[in-house]
Amino acid sequence: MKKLTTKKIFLLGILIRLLIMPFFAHDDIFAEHRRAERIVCQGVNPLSYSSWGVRLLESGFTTLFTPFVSCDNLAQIQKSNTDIDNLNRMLFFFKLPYLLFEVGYWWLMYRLFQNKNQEKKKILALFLALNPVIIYSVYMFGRFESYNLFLSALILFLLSRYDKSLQKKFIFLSTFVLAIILIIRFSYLLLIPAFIMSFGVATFPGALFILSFIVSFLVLKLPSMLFATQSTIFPEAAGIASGAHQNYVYHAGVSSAQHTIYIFFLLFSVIFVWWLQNESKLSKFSAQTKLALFSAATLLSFYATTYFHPQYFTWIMPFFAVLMVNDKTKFLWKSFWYLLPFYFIYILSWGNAAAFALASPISVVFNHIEPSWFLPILELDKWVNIARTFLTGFCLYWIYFLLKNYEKNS
Amino acid sequence: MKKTAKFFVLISVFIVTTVSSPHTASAVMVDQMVPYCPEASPKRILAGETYSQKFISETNEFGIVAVKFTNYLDISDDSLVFRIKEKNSKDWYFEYTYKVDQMQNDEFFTFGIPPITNALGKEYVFELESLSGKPDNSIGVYVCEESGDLVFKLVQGVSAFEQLKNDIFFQINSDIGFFLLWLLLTTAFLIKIVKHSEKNT
Repeated sequence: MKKLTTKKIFLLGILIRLLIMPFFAHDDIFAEHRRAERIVCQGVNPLSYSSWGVRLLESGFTTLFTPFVSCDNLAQIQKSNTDIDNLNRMLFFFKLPYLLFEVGYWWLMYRLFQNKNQEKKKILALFLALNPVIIYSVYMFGRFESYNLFLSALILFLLSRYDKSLQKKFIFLSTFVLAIILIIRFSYLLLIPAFIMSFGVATFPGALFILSFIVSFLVLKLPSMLFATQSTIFPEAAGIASGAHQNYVYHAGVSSAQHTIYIFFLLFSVIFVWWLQNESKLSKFSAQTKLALFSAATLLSFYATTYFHPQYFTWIMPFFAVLMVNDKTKFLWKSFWYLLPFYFIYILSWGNAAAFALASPISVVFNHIEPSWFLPILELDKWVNIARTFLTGFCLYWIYFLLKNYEKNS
Repeated sequence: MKKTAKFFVLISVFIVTTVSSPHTASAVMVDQMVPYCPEASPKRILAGETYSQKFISETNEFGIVAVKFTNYLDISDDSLVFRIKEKNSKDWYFEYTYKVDQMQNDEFFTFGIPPITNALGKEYVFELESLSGKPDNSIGVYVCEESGDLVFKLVQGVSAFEQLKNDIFFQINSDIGFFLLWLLLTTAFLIKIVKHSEKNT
């Protein structure tokens, strides 16, 4: 451990990513780049898609890399995701922007804690560079979560500047970055209450946040409102109403006479009431720490009670990193590693498509390895449900631990 | 200056070696396909339904039956039973249940079976049966419109290791430029890590 310097950890992190980038993929990364191909090579308007921020980013990088992955080559992904020329090269260039943004995320997070002691810095470096959840979700599954990670770290960084200088421009800037995240991943809407709890409601920073959020979001939404070809101006809202991904918060509920008590909102309301009780006491903490606390607690409630896709678990990482570095007991750091086996069994809910078949760009042989071969005795579904239950247990205990700890220290 | 030279060498190698070369993407050797099928469309396999296909082997040995499916660009949680036997045999030669989320859109899914030898001229039958397919949660199998045959191919059986080896060699061979760049990049990082370790010991 002594010989493991932070620089070496980061280099090792990059090496691992470079090694796996060309060889793993889920259909989602092809689906994302089918849209990019339509935008770049067929001239489709990026604003005609929901979450156009990510479409714009992906098509921008696709344009940049056309000398290496031509439109003719890209057109093949419209028909297939295996029978493609230069498949490994394609995957490498698809994921290269993810690596660049992730390195940016590391840099910002590391800068946040540059005054901490060497041991804390090493823990942070290990958590950032060798995080199996991120390596799996971004470089094996192939989702674009690096963009959100970078922007979340940017928000935390801007808030740390606000905490030092109390200049209001940093609230505006961090709010603007939040609005950008929303046009990339609309599910970050979940974190707006966390921002409000961090700034307070009846305070000038709180009012500034709400106002600047509305302005920023409308400004960023304006192009798609003017030029979109889709039938609704807010397709994300239509998604919430129709039961798309954003609807997962309504999945778990307990029937009570004529109503349903939604477990996610039940848990979140407990966090909210805890905040109401402790708001004044929490003022000694920086806005950055409070945002990390409330964002992590909200996301933990989400993971504990809803059906979530493997890559969603990356969203908590920047906030968890802040709380982990500030945690003197090292409990969060240790327990995170214990959680991982349960996370990796939970993702088998998606069958082999989320496991060995991700390696099908290496060989078709991997399509035929069944996860159940490695989990004997019980049926695979039972294993998944047991892991899911443990995951919920971890998340609930972490919420309790965080609220108790911050109440004690306030 | 040295760094700039290194950078230009790397960029030059990159540009020279990454020019796309024309080649075919499939590494699998096809031995027999359904003879005539100009038009085919997918049919959803619903719970309890069985699609059966007879064929006379034109090859002496095969170990893979590849059937064309569509997942309708959605992930369904149905399971499909694949079974195969010689037509007049009482028992099924091979039977296994597969989760359909492995089957890709408009792709052949390869059902690997213990290799069948001395198969030339013999008649075989295979079946696909859905366990829980629903109209909105199932997979589709391609069926020839004129003959009603399933779209499938027989592939000579190779061991998993042999297949893995073939696939890896094929990929490296078909995009040698990219693999050279990739090797350069990863080796550069590895050397950097080793050098850094030596400096700190």
